Amino acid sequence: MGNNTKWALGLGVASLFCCGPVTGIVGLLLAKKDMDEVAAGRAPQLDGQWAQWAFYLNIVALILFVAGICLFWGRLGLGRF
Amino acid sequence: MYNRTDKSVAIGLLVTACAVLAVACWLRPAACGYGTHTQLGLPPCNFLRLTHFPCPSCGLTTCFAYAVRLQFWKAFLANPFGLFAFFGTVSLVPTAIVLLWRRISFRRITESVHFTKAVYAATALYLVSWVFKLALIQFPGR
Repeated sequence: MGNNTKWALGLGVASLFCCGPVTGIVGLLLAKKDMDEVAAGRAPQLDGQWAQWAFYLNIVALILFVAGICLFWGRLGLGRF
Repeated sequence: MYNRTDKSVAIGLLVTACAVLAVACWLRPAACGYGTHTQLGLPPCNFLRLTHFPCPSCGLTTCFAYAVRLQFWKAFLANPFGLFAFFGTVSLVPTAIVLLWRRISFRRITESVHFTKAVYAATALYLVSWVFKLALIQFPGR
């Protein structure tokens, strides 16, 4: 597992629990970097599978963040009725 | 090879940086040091609500709102990492303009090994900033 992937995993977990887009976007970029390296054959020692998992973890975290905002707005809207 | 994607990314960076700074100008910084983002209709921090401790991102919006008004000390107290992010956002404007003008691909920056090290350093700074905020709560006024 490359350094970028390790950091991306950590940032993805942080993004799930508290930091939302701040760490999610950075984690996404780092995981994508490793995925691109593996895809281009420049880093055969890296595990592309882990990089993909880190990538999708950050995407899920960002989706949950957006869903949380939509839920909040929905509850606000319902409260007004 | 400079292509349309590179141009789009540079324009996107320029527009995003300007939009962030414009929104920071429009917001009124919360006196308590966090919660400014609620003026945008966004929910308050769940981490703070559940644990009664600020998350690493708490105060980031407040920091930007202070920093854009040149109140850097208040911005630092709101979120030390935020000040670094603010200057990064401000520097994105001339960077994006140079990328567009000189037709330089953003990949020359992101594929550099220095960029990755800079991301690691920024993340470490983000965590240190969080520890500082937690210490400020534990030892206020010292």
